[in-house]
Amino acid sequence: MTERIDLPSAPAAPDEPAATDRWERLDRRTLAVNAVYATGVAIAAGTGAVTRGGIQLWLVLLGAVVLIGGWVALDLLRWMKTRYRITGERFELHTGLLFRTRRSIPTERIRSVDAIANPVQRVFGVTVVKIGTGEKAGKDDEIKLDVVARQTGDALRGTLLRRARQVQSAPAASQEAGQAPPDEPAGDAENALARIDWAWIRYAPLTLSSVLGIGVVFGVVYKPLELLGLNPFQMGLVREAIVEFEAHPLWVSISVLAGAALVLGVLGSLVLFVEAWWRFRLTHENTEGTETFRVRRGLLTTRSLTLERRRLRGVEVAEPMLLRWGGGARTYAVATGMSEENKSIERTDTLLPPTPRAVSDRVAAEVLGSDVPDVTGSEAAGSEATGAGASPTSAVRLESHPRAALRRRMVWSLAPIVAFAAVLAGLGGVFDWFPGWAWWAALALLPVAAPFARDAYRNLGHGLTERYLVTRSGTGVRRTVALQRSGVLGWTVRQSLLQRRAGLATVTATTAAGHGAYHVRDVGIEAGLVFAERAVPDLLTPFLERPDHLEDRHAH
Amino acid sequence: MTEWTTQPTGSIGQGAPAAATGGTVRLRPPRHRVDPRAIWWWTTQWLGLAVPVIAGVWIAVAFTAGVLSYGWLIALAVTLVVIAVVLVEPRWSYAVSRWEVTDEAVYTRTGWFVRRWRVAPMSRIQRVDNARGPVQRLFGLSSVTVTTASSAGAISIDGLDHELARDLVEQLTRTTHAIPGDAT
Repeated sequence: MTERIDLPSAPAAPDEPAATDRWERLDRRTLAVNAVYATGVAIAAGTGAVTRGGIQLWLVLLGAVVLIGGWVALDLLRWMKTRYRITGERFELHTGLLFRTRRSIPTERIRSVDAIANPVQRVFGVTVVKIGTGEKAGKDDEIKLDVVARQTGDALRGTLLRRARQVQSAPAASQEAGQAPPDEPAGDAENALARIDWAWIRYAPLTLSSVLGIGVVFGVVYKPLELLGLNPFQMGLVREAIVEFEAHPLWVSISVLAGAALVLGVLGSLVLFVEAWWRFRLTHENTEGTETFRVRRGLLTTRSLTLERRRLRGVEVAEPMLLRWGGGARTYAVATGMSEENKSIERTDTLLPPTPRAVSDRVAAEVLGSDVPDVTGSEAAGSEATGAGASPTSAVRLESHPRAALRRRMVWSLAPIVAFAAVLAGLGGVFDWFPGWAWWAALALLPVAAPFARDAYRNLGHGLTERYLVTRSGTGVRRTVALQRSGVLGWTVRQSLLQRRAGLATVTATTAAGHGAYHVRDVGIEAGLVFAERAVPDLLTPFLERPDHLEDRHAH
Repeated sequence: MTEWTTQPTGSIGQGAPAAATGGTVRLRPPRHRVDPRAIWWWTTQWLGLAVPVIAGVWIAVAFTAGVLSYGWLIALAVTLVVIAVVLVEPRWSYAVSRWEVTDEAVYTRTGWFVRRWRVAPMSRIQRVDNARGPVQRLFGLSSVTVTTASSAGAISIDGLDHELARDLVEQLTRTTHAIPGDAT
């Protein structure tokens, strides 16, 4: 819980004794940054107003001045009212114009310090610093310094995370931190786990960004033109093209449009990839005993994510269908204290760009620590030449689930289609205006859906390594999650009536990290229980019934 | 704990122990039932939903009588289904609902169509809450919720006698306080 300590009255800070505990302000350049924002908005709005006509120029200029002045004045107030300091054990932040918020966070709770700078901020040499605690913070609870000088940001990162480590003395440090192999020499060290390989850009069109890409290209081209009062749809060239379209049969027009969308999508996705992954590197740092992973990337907006190893609970390898067909995968950290509100476009826990599956597995292995024994012998991991251990996400031979799970998937994907077809057939029987062939068309979906159901079944799997439990499921997006066994906070076993009759259950590990719950879907009930019992020793054991009580494994 | 991590991992996850015993491994029901008054509490809750639904359906029928001549059939079917749910669900839930608190863990079973068994170890419990809604108070009942650091990990025991719930919260708080660590 983020502690908010409401002090009775704002203590006049400067006369507090310790010099290191001085109250700091944000960087003054925030005014310049905001002036640029305001000017941008003013120009955009002003141009629109002028080109549309009807408003006199002096009025527009006056409006612009008021807008910019007001904006900057507000920011000045914000700047004056915002102060922060680091005392021995706490990070304190006072903000707010009308509603004063005073936050006091124990430094031991600070789990991440991220620096993000957009192009404007980079020009002025400043950056936004976001401080993450282990909480699922709402939007208003985000702790953000907007903005500080770049050097200050770096210094803050060092200070806060180091203090977090010092305060968090040995006993509270989680088990895995102690187990982590000392593959780094003592002292400061930085070690690149991955750098951008521009060959990976071939995966960009296979990700969601190709859909977004259309929007991006459209937005980049269309919006500014529209603001200038030039609607492309009313311009000669486009007009002619539209006329041309209407002259041809529908299917020609549609395929040309689809082709154009495809090209736009691919182009846009390449642009997005370059923007997001420019100068990407994932490094492992060992600063005075604090092990952190750092992701730095970005062309226009630079992102820097710092993640402490002790927050890491596992890795998720996600393969959206297209990417999977192309042999690629995305890699995410499963860590505590990542805010849940991952915007759909860009997740904050991204470790790698879309990469070949092998790279994903190698990085997963290095991030998770290479002490995982190769369980299956040679098949999966033998090819890794890096010398790192096998990744839990690839090396374990996952147990497949009972055939009943396949039946279940078939029923769930086919039954709705059959029902839909039946409704269409019924409508066709009752109303004569309703096309009689419609239900045949619906039935044609069956052979399309069946392979997906089959794929979904084939992707089900679970397994254990020495320190991780691994679960896989999904067809649209196949997710393979390796979750630290010591990070499991509890189990939920779910069984519907239908699942009970099929002898299946969904076994869920709850955890403080990532999505909060990771499922082993439709596993055979017995296999699922045994899996849960072995993954977290002693937790489930007292609640299990075995017909054979002679077999008591916990008798010493 | 140690004996597990030192085991060879080769056979893990392959159902070896179950095969060795030759029988079925299953979850035993938790030891305690909830208070029988919970049936009435849940019935009351369902009525709060059922009465407006039934009323709404019949009102709709009355207004559309001219258009839909067989509307009353649909309304009758809805009414019967809703009444069946109101009668069945609380009793079924009561039959399923069980809870148990040991020195090591909280263990519950809930649900009706879909059953859920939940286990959380004491060492991972961050918060213990005791909540009583107005309807629960009417029946002298109370809910106890234990929360872990997982966003999906809260375990709720509903329909406990409220004196019992108070003692339980006290016991849980004592036990969880005795265990060090930040429970993540």
